[in-house]
Amino acid sequence: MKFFIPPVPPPFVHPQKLGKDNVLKQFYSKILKMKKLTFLSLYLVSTLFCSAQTTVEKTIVLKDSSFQKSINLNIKEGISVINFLFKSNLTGGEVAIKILDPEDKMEGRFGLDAIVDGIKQPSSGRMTHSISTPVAGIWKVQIQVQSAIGNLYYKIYFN
Amino acid sequence: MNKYIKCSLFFAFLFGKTVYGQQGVLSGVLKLDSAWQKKVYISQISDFNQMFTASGKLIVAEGNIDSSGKFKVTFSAPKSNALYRLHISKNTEPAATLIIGGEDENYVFFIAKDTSQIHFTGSVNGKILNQINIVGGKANHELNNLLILNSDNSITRDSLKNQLVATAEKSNTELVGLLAVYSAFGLDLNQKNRIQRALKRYDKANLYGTRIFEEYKSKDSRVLIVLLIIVLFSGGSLFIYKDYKKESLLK
Repeated sequence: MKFFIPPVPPPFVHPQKLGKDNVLKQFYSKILKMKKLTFLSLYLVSTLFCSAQTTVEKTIVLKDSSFQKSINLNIKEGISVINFLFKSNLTGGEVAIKILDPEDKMEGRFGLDAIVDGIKQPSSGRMTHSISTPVAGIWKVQIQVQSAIGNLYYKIYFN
Repeated sequence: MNKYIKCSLFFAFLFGKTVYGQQGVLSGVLKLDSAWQKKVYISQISDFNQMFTASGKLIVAEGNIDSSGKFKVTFSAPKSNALYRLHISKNTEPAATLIIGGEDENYVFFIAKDTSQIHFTGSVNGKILNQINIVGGKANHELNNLLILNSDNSITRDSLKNQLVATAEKSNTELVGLLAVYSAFGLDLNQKNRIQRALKRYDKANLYGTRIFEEYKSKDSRVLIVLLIIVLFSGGSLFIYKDYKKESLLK
């Protein structure tokens, strides 16, 4: 029969007995031994504080829907990129989307119209658009939906 | 057939011949994989606001792509320049489909009028359709330059504004000049005045410019309208006064 024999801990030496320099040396040597753990912790902290990504995402089911919606994005100095993604499939009605920058520059436009001579005719599409180093200020995404049947998905993210 | 109907049909035919007298032709080569329909669609864009709208009501013609990738489509074209969009659709998607951005971007624009021969020269740079591949006279060369300028992210905003104003001033194609004005943004007073001066040489009947001409209506013309109203009002008052005086004397 074998018994578990716990490992013998190293003899405790009070830091005061080691001296100030020796304490620091021990601390640094332990840090170096835990390289992977240290780098992982640093990476997690930097990801948390440095890349504050903001995402606005929504899927809307359109059932003969009509509405107007404006999404205001407060883009601050230092934001490196804004990504826009819009997808829609319609079997009736209209969808119109505009992206305007703080100077009212039309940065993007996308529309579907699924009515031809009063008859419903399917229409679909998507828009992907990325803007690097965007101008700081309030960006507007205007969505206009008129008697629409189908779906609309959008995802806007910036960091 | 009723003679009135015959007469109406004749005039409708005559009108059609006058406005859409001839046909434009778009031909080219497109090598598509099995994901895409072997068809090209042509939409007439009669308002700049419709440039990025997918709709069956805009589609004016379609043509088949043969096994070697060649296609040729004829479409009704007016006597003056009009804006068109060539697009393709995937098998799983309806004809009226627009993909904006990415490698699957499925459209290019071109300008055509009656007897125009437009050619699409085939894809480059990984993208299936590339604006630069549209060839068809000076108008399309200018349109390509403007659309490429508009999508160029490397250019500074001030430079873009100046180049749009310069395009409005120098373009030999009114449609391109008007599209440059339509795309302009955040202009200062000097740039707005330059556009106002440039627009003086434009045909005010050009439907692409309806809103633009209204927006950049010169102050001179407004003053003239006010003066004309004052003159008419004064003339009318004078006439009524003289008439009244004459009647008083007769009494």
